[in-house]
Amino acid sequence: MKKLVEISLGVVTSVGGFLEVGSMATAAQAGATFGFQLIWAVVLGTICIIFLVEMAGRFAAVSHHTICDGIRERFGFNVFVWPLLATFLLSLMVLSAEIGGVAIALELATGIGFQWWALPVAFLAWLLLWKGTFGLIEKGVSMLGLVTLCFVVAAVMLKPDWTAVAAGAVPSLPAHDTASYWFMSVSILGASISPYLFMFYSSGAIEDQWDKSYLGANRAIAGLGMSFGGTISVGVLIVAALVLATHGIDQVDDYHQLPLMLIPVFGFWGFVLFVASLAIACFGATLEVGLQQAYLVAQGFGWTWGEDRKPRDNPGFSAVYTVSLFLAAIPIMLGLDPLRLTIFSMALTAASLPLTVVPFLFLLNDKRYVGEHRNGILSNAAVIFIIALGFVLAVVTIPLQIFGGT
Amino acid sequence: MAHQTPALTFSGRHLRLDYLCALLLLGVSAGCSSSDRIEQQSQTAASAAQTVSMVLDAWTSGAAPFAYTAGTLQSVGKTLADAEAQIRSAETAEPAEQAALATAVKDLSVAVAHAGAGLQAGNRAGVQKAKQDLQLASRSLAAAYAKYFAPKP
Amino acid sequence: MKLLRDLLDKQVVDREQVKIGKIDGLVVELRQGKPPRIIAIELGSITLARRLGAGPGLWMARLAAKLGGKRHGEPHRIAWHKVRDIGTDIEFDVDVRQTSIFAWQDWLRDHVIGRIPGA
Repeated sequence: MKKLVEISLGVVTSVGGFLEVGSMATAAQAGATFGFQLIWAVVLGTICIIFLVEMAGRFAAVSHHTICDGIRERFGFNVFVWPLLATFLLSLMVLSAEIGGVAIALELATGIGFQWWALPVAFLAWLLLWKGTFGLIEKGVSMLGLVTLCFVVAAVMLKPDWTAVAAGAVPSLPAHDTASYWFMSVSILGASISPYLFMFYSSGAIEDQWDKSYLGANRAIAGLGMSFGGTISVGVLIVAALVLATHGIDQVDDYHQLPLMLIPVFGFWGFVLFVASLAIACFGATLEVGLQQAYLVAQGFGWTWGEDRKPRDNPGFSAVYTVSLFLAAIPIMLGLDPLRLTIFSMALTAASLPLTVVPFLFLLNDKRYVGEHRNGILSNAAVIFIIALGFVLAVVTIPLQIFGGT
Repeated sequence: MAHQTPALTFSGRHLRLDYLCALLLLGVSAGCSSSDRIEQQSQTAASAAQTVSMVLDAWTSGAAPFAYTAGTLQSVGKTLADAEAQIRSAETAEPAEQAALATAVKDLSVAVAHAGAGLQAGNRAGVQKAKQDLQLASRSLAAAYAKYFAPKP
Repeated sequence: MKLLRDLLDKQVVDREQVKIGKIDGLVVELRQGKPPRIIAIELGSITLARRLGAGPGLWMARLAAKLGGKRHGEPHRIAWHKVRDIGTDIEFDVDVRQTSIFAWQDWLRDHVIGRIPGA
């Protein structure tokens, strides 16, 4: 019974925490420009993240190492330094984008420019990390994140042609704007398969003191949580296709266009729901990415870490999230367009995947860490597929970044 | 090779992340044909116009708050001004069609500005009138676009 | 025991289970005709920088000496005979508070973090 509660809590947490500025913006753009045609990218990204999250949780539960500890220990510092740097810098960009997402929501609600909100948002996030506990951040904020389910409700209420939706789940070649099509698929994949997500998950498993008895729960949480989460992204895409595209808006390059998705469905409440979804989803992600920055550095260098300790007992750890949050607020404060930053950082994330995913192939097959709970053929195939995908995306992203855009 | 990246679209209000990229890619974008740029900017302008029309509908029916509506009009106004400048500055073999496109985008800008003024004054009739102008200009944009990309004899 | 594989880059904890760093380097005595013997482990940024190359090592040592005084110009060492347990973490019979390993964290606490309300 206790396990069941824990599993459902875990699933709810991953569902509420799934949507963030990246998945929301990329799905909205894709739906507006290409209708249902890019649903496959969301589905593919979700399947990939299910595998990676399951592995990260299994690795932590069996070996009592986080993914970050594992990479450093297994490959040595000289190799570890590359994923460390790449993940840290990329997460800083993603953190900026998330802070920007909250700032946009506040601008939409108040009419006061988003630049003015960057610092207050970063400060509030910092305050929660400073005073809060892991449970509060992981569970509390993700609970609120369930408001993003309104996109699924809206998608169903719009009565889409479900066969067309299903057809979109199968990859197909675009009829127009080829470069932009592939660029969007890369951004969607980058938004779904975020390294911070599975790294954070493995840190969470250690914070919650998982052991082998959690392997079943881990599988359920990864599978159910991420699929429901992916469903919300698909919901955003469907709504964008049915609302924006049908009103002749096929280029989403201004965040002011986004609330229009829910207004025809829910009226004024649609506006409120959109703003709340954007604010809460991005704020939750701000907390998670900020915390993950501190986990990453502290685990990488072997300092004490843990969100439940007081900052004064953990000065290095708290300094990392403090500095990260305020650094990340700066570009938004200077007026950098959050929507563009988001799309840009999602594509880069996709290109950086091989760096963080290749280690899975070794760690999850190493008996000294996972013993009998090694990867099966399916999981290994998934990892190899993601690595290959990452390499292709890395090669493709850079030119598409130049020619593709929206 | 198709479109301009968002990274390359400039507008005065924001300090764009990609100034640096833009510089780096200047050579590349020089390779982009002008008709690509005109196509992209015309599409952006058309989407922008539809955005305004949608947000004004929402405002009229009480579904969009004032601050959001005003912010959207302002932002779209900048997008349209930028699109017009880009269309005008593109080099093309069909100056007449190009001018028609630019004029249509200019009309959109004017209609959006009127809508903004009506909104600030709380003048619903003025907003309605501006919305009609916007639709007219949208139609002439679509016509000019079709003409520009029509197969030439 | 394969030194590099089984020891290097593992988590180090002190006798209170406080995480004090990773095994960033090993100090090994080479003996003629006998297998080499570990005499100490090293921790800290200087050792890490040396692993990246002689240049970064030199640079980091200078930086550390400049920031922390002469005593920080050398890597931290813990004698191998202090080792108590080798498991997921490697435990040493030392108390981190009596070493200078966390000098920078203490500085950070006393000068920055501790001064922010609520710490």
